[in-house]
Amino acid sequence: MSHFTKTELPIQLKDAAMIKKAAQKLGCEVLENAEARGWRGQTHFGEIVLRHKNSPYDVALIKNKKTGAYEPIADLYGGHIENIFGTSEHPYGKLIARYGAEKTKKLAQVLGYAVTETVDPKTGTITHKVVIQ
Amino acid sequence: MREIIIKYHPDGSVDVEAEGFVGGECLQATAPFEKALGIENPKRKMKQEGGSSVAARTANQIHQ
Repeated sequence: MSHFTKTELPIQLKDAAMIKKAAQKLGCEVLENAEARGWRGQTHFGEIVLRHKNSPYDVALIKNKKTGAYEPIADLYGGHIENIFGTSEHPYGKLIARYGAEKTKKLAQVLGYAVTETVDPKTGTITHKVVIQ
Repeated sequence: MREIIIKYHPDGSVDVEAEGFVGGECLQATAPFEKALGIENPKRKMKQEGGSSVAARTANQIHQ
């Protein structure tokens, strides 16, 4: 048995351009207004669909009109999604982390602040240091 | 030096910390980043370090 699961996020994915950029950095192909693949040919529509060559299933993102945030829906069966987009603790953790990092970089640039990025190779944690002038 | 340190963990949690600020400046400095990330109702810790205030926040609640 398998199904598409909607997951609330610790930070809101409101910026479509940054979602796409983050997904591309994870090695994904980004589709627009497409069907995400699930178990046994099931599909789910997504305004943004993230597809990775190492996963038989995709992530569909649909904008919540009330909050303005994109909400991910995917078939989490088999751990394919968490292997690409997250961890066992959060199926989209890596995607969220990269999205956040891209947002920080963009905002720091707009505000004229210098930002340096480091990635811990053991944990995968992305650290941004933003120097405020 | 005034710095904002943001850590994005692969479990989806985020920590935001401000260093080298005086008083409530740290809250003003981190506010645009929190807003951009859509972090709502963060847990917050305030502490004093060598005369400067540090705000550490986390949005590590995972809702599934």
